[in-house]
Amino acid sequence: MLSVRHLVFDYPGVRALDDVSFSVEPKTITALVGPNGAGKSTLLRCLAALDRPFAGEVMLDGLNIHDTPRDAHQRMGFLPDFYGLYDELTVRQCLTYRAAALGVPRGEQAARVHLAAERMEILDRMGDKAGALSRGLRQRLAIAQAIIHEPALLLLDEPAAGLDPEARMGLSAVLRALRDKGMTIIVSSHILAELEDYSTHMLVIREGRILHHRALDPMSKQRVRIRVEVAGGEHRLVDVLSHEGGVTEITLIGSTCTFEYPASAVSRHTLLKHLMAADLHVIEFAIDEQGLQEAYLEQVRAAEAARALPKIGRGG
Amino acid sequence: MWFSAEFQRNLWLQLSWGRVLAAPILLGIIVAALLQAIAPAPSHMAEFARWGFVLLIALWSTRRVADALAEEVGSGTWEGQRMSGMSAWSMVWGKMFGGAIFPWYCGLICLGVMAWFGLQASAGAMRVAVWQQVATLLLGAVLGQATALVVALLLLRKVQFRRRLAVTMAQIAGLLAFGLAVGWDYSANPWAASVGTIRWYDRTYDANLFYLSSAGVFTIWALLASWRLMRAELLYVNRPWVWKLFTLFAMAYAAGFVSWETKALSSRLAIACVSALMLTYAAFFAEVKDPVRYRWGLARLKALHWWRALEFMPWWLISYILAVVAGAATIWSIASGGQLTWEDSWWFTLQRDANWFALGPIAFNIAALLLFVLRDMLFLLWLNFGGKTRNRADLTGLVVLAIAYWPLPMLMIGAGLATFLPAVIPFAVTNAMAIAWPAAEVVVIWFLLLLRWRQATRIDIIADNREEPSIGHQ
Repeated sequence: MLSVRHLVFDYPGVRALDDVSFSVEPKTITALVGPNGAGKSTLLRCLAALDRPFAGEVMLDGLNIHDTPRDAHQRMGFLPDFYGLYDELTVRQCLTYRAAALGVPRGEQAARVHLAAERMEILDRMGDKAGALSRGLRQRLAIAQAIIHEPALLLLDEPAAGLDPEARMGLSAVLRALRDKGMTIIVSSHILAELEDYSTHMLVIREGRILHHRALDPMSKQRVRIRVEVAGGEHRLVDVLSHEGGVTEITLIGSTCTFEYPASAVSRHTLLKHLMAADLHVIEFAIDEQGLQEAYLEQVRAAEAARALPKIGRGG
Repeated sequence: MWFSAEFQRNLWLQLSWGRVLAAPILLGIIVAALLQAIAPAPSHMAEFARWGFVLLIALWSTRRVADALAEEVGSGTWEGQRMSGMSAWSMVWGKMFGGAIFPWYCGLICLGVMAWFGLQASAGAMRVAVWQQVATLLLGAVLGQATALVVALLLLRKVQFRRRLAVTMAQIAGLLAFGLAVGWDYSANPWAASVGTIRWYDRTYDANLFYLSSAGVFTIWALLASWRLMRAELLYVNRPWVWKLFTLFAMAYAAGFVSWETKALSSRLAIACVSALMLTYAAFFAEVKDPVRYRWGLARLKALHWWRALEFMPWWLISYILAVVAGAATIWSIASGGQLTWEDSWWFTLQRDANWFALGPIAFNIAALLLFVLRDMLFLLWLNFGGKTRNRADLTGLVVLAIAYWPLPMLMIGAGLATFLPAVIPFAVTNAMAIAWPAAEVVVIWFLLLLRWRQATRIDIIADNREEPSIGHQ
């Protein structure tokens, strides 16, 4: 669907994106997370072909978007953090204008406008001016504008900023519905709680680099993240796990170890048997239903630890 | 294209039924009041209407065009437009005529009134045909609006946080372009003293027709410029062919005003060279001097991706290279006595007659001028590549250059240092030794620029020191 290879983007004196590579599967919602200044907006603007990178390429369904940005824009919708609405136009005029601007044939425009408004549940507001809408409704109108041409890829930059809890819940439902209709969505935010409801994948970016990219929904995947806590002997636990087939990405924090492992019940049962056979004092063995926030923080901690290690080495 | 989505949107916003009805009623009342109060002659009535058009278009529509763009950027809708499927022409027409549709509506009513009374005027009162006045005004209006759009597109890329200033500057530029186009017409309109002629490339033209044709040609250039800039905004790849052609056109246009019978080829070449140098400055101040962009261009040159490197070629460099070619040809023509005619074979005559030891001061002036402009460009780049000075580099540069070219030479003369004038003004360079001054300045500033370039293009990569990334396939 979307493939990003070795993307590099510079601002004067600063490398905002540094060799960024990842792929996005169709019909997924990827949460692009990271602290302020991590490069999220720059990455989204590069993915939207609004900014051209110094090096690397972004392929959308086999199309290099920076070579043919106009073609790419027909296949994607982009919602910037500032919604970008014409306040003096009515909702119907906003949507009709957007449909015409995106090349929807004149005969189809009315139907597309109706469909987009229906999906966003703003049909009853068609005669209202955009400037008179509440923030939640403005956001729905902005998303309706972004999807009016039925894009395959939808990019959203901080879509829930400033929304009240009810509007945020509404946004979750809208995005899940769009995914169910076949759209692939990338949502950027530094407020993790808002992404948790609807994201299927998490892409962590920090200082212009991809720290981690993984699926979040354990039951839909072949592999899961397992959490094991032991009462002492945690280093032996790591040793046993590292010799266990199928175990990857082991992280040890305190007496708790988390790792990726095949999801099947038989595999997990076998692993537990092996841990017991190794005489480890296992006090907890569970699928790590990790929240987005915990997952993000875990990756950040791991990255910080990896960066700290060489310093310790040099000091010693 | 004419009835694009952008044009439609502007119609929705600006042409309400109330406005459509109010404009003719209000203008009708003004016309009726004038007729009733002072009962002017038809030719004078035409003049009033003409001024109505001038004020509406020059002041209001140029502002509206620049504002239309600034409003998009300010309200965050510009990115949506950049990602739309509209063509660059649709956007240009949509912004130029759609953005100013109401001033145009009022202006066209005034133009209709002018034509109506103009046609009723007695034969002697209208020495210039009404159609010619209408054509001049319409061309001037399009030229003014296209100029305002061009300047707005250029400035909004440079001064994102001073939009009102950018809009005002775009309006002033549009107003000046409109004034130049329509002001020419004034020299031959019913209220001017006489009708003149003009010599261009040794032919005599009716001044009115020449001005009208010139306004037409420059309007086409302004429209082309707005189309190319809009293409760049819409993420099309632009290579600088149009700027190159415009520089060549401007050189040839300006050179045509030098009479061939009284001056030699060298004068025309010198005028062409000076025109290209003026465009070098204009291009420099119009462009964004981002060291990252320069670095991208150089990286593509290093990788021998010529075609892609052209995309990043600065416009000022194109004008400067053409100025150097024209300047070299000027010096050569002076060396050969400046007696060439078009019938001679250029190359052989130049070789036969060239006398490098008899070059006059003008030849040294031209060489010095080229070096001074190069020095200025390098100095301005040095300012633009500085971390802290980048935001106000152009303004700082303008002030420094203004001081360097005006009060400084006067102070030097006052202080008895006239010997050193070749270091500060090109026209003081009249011999081969004096050329060393600007040449030395170029070398020094080039060295300083090189140091700053290294600093400006150093990238802080936090994790490691990988090699320069590959810039991909050609």
